[in-house]
Amino acid sequence: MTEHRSAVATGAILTLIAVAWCAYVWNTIPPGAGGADVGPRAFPLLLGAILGVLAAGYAVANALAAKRSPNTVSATEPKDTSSHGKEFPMMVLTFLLLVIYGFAMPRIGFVLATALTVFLGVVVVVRSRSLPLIILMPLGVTFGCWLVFGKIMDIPLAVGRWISLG
Amino acid sequence: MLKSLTRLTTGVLAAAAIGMAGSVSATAADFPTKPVEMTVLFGGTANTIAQVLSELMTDELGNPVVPVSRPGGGGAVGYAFVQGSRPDGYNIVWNSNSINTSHHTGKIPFDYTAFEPVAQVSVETPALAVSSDKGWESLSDMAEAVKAMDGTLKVGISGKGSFTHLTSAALFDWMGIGDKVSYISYGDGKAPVELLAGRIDAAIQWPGQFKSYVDTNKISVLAVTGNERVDILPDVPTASEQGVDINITMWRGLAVPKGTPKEVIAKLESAAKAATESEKFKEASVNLGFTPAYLDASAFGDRIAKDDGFYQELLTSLGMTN
Amino acid sequence: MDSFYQALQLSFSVSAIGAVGLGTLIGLIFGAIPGLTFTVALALALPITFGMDAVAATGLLLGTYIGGMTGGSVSAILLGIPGTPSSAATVLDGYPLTRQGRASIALGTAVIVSTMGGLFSLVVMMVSVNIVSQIAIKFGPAEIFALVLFGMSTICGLSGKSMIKGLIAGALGLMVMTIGIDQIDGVNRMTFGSVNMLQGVNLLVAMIGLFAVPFIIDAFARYARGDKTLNLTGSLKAELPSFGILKANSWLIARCSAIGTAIGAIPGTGGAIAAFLAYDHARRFSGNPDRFGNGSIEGVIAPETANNAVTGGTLIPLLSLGIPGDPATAIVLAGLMVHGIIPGPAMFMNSAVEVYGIYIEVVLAYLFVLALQLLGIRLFVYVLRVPQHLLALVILVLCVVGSYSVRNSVFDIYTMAVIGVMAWGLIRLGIPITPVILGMVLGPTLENEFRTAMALSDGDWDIFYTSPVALAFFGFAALIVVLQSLSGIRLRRNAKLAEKSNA
Repeated sequence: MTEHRSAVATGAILTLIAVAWCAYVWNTIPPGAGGADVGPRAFPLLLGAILGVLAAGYAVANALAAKRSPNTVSATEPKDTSSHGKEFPMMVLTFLLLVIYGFAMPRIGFVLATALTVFLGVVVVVRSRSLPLIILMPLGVTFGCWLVFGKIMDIPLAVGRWISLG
Repeated sequence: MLKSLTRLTTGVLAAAAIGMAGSVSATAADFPTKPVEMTVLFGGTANTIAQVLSELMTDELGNPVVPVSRPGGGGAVGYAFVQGSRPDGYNIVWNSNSINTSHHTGKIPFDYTAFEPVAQVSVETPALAVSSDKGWESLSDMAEAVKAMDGTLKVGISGKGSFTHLTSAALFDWMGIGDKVSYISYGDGKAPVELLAGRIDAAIQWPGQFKSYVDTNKISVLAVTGNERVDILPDVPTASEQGVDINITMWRGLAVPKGTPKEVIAKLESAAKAATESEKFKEASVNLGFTPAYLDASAFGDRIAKDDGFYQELLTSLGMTN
Repeated sequence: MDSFYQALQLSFSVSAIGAVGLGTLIGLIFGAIPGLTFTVALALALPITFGMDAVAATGLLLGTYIGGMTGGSVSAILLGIPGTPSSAATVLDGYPLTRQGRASIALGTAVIVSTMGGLFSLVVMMVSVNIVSQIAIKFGPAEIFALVLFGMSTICGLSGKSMIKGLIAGALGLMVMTIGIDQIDGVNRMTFGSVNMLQGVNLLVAMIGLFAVPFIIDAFARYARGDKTLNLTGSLKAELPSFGILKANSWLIARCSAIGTAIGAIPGTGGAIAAFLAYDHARRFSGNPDRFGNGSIEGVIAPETANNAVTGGTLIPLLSLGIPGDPATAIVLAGLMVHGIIPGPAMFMNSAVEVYGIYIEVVLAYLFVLALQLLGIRLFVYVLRVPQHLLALVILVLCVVGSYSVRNSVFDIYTMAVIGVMAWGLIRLGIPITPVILGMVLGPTLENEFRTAMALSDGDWDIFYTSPVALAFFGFAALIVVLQSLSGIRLRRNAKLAEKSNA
C-alpha cells in the first residue's frame, strides 16, 4: 500500500517536472526553420512529452493497482526501511560539502579548499574526536592530491582569487 | 610528466616557501613572478596550437605558461572566465574570431572591447572541397553547374554560426549561388568522409582535414578563402585568384582583460612574437595546417575591430544576430 | 616488409617501450581512480609528446588510451563507480561480485578478457582495415541513428523488474544532455540565461555524479547508523580466474570481441554503446539470465571484452579516414598530426612505418596492461581494507578534482553535486540509474544524427526506410523491445500465479 502510494507520488512529481520542462522549452527555444529543418526545439519537447506520458502512466498504473489490491503490500519488492536510516541527512551533508568545496576553490585555491573540506568532513560527518585523525587526514589528503595531481601529473589545479598556496 | 618529475624536487621546496597570490602586488616590471594561465576555448587544432605556443612562451618568460582548457558554450564560458579575472596579466585568453561571433549571436553579454589585444599568432584558412567525380576544376565551373542544376547544393559545415558556416555563406553569396545551397551540420570533422561517401556535394572545412584525401585523388579542393595560398595544399588557388573577391581567415591570438598594465602586455607581446617566429612553431604549423602570422598589439586590435563589423553584418544577413 | 622491420626496430627502442609503459601506467591510474577519467590523462599527456620522436609519442598516447580503457573497470568492480562511461556496464555485475567477496576474480577476468578483446580487434584491423573502412563510410547519419536507437533498446534489458522505470530513467538522461548550446543550430537551450549553463552537462561530470555521489552518501549513512554489514574482507584474497572460466566463456568472448570491433569501427559511437550491447547480448543468450545483475561473471566478461575491442575498431576510422570516434581518440589524432602523421587514406602509403609502429605499440600496450593490472590486483583490493567512510571522504575529494579538471570549470563541480543528489533520489525511488547514463551517452548522437539525416533528405522520412542497414537496426531494436515486453508479461503472470498459490 505505502509502496503504491509513494509510486503514485513519484509519478505525479515527474509528470509535473515534464510539464514544466515542456513549457519552458516551448517558451525559450525557437522552432526550426520548417521543411527539412527539424530544429532545436523538437527533441527537448519530444523527450519532455515522453517523460510526461511515462510518468503519468506509472502514476495511474500504481493508483489502479493500489485500488485493486489495497491490502497486499507489494510482494515483489519488500522494502526494508530501516536499511535507509540517516541517508537523508547524509545526502544533505554531502551536498553541502561539495558546494562548499566548489565555492571555496576559486577563492582560496585548491590546497586550502581541500584541507578545509576534508577537515569539515572529518569533524561533521565522521564526527571524529580523535585529534590525530582531525589533523592528519586533511593534511595527508591535501598533500597527496597536491603532490600527485598538481606536481607529478601536471593537472592545472584551481588558483585562488583571494589567496593561493602551492 | 618526465619534466615534472625533475620539477618535483624544486616543487617540494617551493611548497615549503609559501607563495601567496595576494602578496604578488610587485611591480609590473617583475612580471611574471608566477605561472600564467592561458585559457583555451576549444579542443582540436586550437588546443594543440595553444599547447605548442605555451611551451615556447614558457621558455621566453621564464615562468610557466599553463594552457588551461575551458571549452563549452562556443567559447562563451572561457571568455567570461577571463573577462571576470583580475587584470594582472596572469590570466590570458587564446582568442579567435569567436569573440566577435559569440557576442553578436548573444552568447556573451560583452564584446571584444572587454579585452586588450596582446598579439595575433596564427591564421587558419578554410578550404572548399568537392568530390572529384563532379569534374569541377574551379569556382566558376562550380558556380555554373550549380546555377544550372535542380534542387540545392548540399554543403557540409561544422554547425550553424560556426566559422565554416559564415565562410561558406560569404563565399557562395559572392558566387551568386547563395540561395541554392543547403547547409548540413557535422561535428567532429566528419564532413570530408561524408563528401567521400557522396552524401553531400561540397564541404568547407580546414585544409588539414582534406590533405590525405587530396593525395589519393578522392576529393578536389577548389579554393582556399584567404589572400594567400596555404602551405599544406600549395597547388590550391585562392578564391581571389579566381575572381571571387573574398578574404576570410580565422585568426588566433592572445588577449588579456581590460585594464591590464601596458608593461605587462608588452612583455607578453614580445614573448608571443619570439614564440611565433621560432623554428619549432613553424614546424608545428606545417603539420597542423595553420600559418604563423604575428601581428603586434595595435595591428591586432585594428583587425579585431574591423572584423567585428564584418561578422555583425554577415550574421545579420543570416538572421543569426541576437 | 622493409617498413615493418624498420617499425620493429623503432618500436623496440628503450624510449618507445618506456613511453608505452609510462602511458599505460598513467592511463591505468586515471582510469582506476574514481572521479578521474582518461580523457583528462590524454589531454595532459599530449604536450609531453611534443618533444619525443613520432614513434615514442604515439606509443605514449596509445598506451594512455588503452590503459585508461582497461583501468576504468577497476573502480567499477571495486566500488561500483565506473572510471569511464565504457565501464558503466561492468558495474552491473562487477560490483555485486565484489560484495560477494570475489573482487579479485572479477578484476583478473576483466583484465584478461580486455586484453583478448583488444588484441582480437587489432588483428581484425590489420587484416581488414581497407574493407572495414569502406563499410564504415556507408554509415551515414540515418544508419548511425538507427544503430544508436538499437543501442537505446538495451534500456529495456537494464531496467530490472519494471520496464517503465527504466524508460523514465532513460528519458531523464536524454533530457539532461539537451541542456546547453545546440550543436547544429547554435541555439541556447534550457540555459536560464546563464553563461555557465551554456557549456551544458559534460558526460564525464554527469557520470561522476551519478555513481560516486550515491556511493559517498551510502557510505556516510552506513557509518552514521553503525552498520557494519558490508564486510568485504573476503575480497582481499588475490585469487586469479581459472582457465576454466575463460574456456567456458570462449565463445562469448569471441562474440563480444566482434561486437566491440564492429561498433568501434563506426565513427561517432564508441565504447559505452558497445559495452551495453554486449552486456545485453550476453544476458539474452545466457543459460540463466536471472543471475545477471547479481554477480554473474559473464556480466563482467561481456562488457569488458567489448569495450576493449573498441580500441582496435576505433583505430580503423581514425587511421584510414582521419575521423576520431570520441574525445579520447581526437586527442590521439592531434598527437599524430603534431608529428606530421596525417591520418587518412594516404597514411598507409605515406607513413607505413608509423602504421606498423602503431600495431606493435598496441600489442606492447596490452602486454603492459596485463602485467601491470595482474600485479596490481593485490594493491587494488587493498582499497577495500580502508574504512569505507574515510574512503568515501577521499573519493569526494577525487570527484571534485575529477569534475573540475574535465573542463577546468567550477560550475561543473556544482553540476556534479546536483546530478549526484538527483541520482540518489532516483535510487531511493527504485529507479535504476544505469539507463540514465545510457541515455546521456547516446542522447546527443541520437538527436544530431537524426537532424542531420533529415537535413540531407530535405525533410523526407524515406532516408530512414530506404537504407537496408538502417532498416536492419530498426528491426533489431523492435525485436528487443518486443522480446522484453513478452518476458515482462510472463514474469508478471508468474508472479501473480505465485501470489494466488500463496493465498
